[in-house]
Amino acid sequence: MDEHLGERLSAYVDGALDGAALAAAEAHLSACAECRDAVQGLRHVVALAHALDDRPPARDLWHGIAERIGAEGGAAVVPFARRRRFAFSIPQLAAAGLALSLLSAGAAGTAVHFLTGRAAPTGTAFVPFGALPVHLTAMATPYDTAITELEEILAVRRGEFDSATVRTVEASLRVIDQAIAQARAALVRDPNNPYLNGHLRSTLDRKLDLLRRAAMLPKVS
Amino acid sequence: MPREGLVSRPPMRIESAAGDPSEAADVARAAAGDSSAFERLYRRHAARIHSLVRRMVEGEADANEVTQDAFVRAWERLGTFRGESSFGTWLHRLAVNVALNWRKSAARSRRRFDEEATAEDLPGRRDAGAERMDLDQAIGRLPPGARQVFVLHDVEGFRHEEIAELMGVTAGTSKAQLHRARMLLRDHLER
Ligand SMILES: [Zn+2]
Repeated sequence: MDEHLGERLSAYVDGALDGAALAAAEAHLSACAECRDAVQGLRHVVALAHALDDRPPARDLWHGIAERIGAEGGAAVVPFARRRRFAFSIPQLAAAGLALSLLSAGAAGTAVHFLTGRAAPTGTAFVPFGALPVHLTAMATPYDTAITELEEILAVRRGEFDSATVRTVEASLRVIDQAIAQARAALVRDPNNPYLNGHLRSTLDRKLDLLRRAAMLPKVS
Repeated sequence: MPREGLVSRPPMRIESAAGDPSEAADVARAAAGDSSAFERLYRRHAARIHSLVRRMVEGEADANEVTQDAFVRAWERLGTFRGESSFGTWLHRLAVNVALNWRKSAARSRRRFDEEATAEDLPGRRDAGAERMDLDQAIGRLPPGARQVFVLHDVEGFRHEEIAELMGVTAGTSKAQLHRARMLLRDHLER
């Protein structure tokens, strides 16, 4: 008898032999129980391999990915040591229906270096939050207005915070601003996309929330 | 001897997401920088990619790292995705490359197939599900080259020519490695 089929067994199983090679293989198989047995075993392996299931990773890997791509859900959570929950919101903003025409050229997404170097706006006094001036008459830019005001407050109060807090807030704002910029870039391509509008809105909400909490931080004595 | 059509058909696991409009929208958003859209893509493809990677590299920890690498790479390169294939296919191909390069850069102690040849852990009787699980574990103990060719060819449906190109070997090497892997697995299943 010829030598066994060896590698040609796999080619045979894969239907990759033809012509004389196929005829020779079949002739060998008809006479060789060992190779016939191997064909059966190989077919079984291949069939099992085709039927293998996918299963998800044992732990969620998104967090690590999010961190590396600078996404929210990574390091974006504001890790204030004394995190406070403030009950107030800016319901007027929601009520405004969020036309989000702020997309045009708002201040909301521009770089927020309010804690760094930027001089405090003149004449900005501490504005009590209960009276946070949401200009209902200026619904076109509700977020811009609120954000600008909060930034001004923070600029004034900057010296009252310790440097670790300043760094934390700045880092968080950079992440949020990046998300805002990304959402806007996507909206430029697809302006009427409801998901993108909602995403931008929630990102802006996050920024507002962060600014509010930062502005309400107690003074370091 | 009858020949079956079954085994020469590549598995059709890559194409499930092709042409899905909601996925296409998420791809576009992610390409524009929307990480939430990218997270949805991750959720959708994590099992597929992680399963591929887990079979190509050794150990869950490495598989996790390679999976994360692959998605980070995908995020960085989304701008180059032209939609010529489905996103799933594109991502899959990218993950294959990351996994193959991982092997080259990682000098790790490897558990060899033949070091594990104990028959004790064999259950007395195996149903098809248990046998597939058994195969999955056995794949992890194949020598690296044979394992990768086997996964790419028999699990993922690549052709030898494609594997040769991906791995930088000849098609003949790919064929030889495939046969070697299959025989080892056959012996394992028939212990
Ligand atoms: Zn023979």
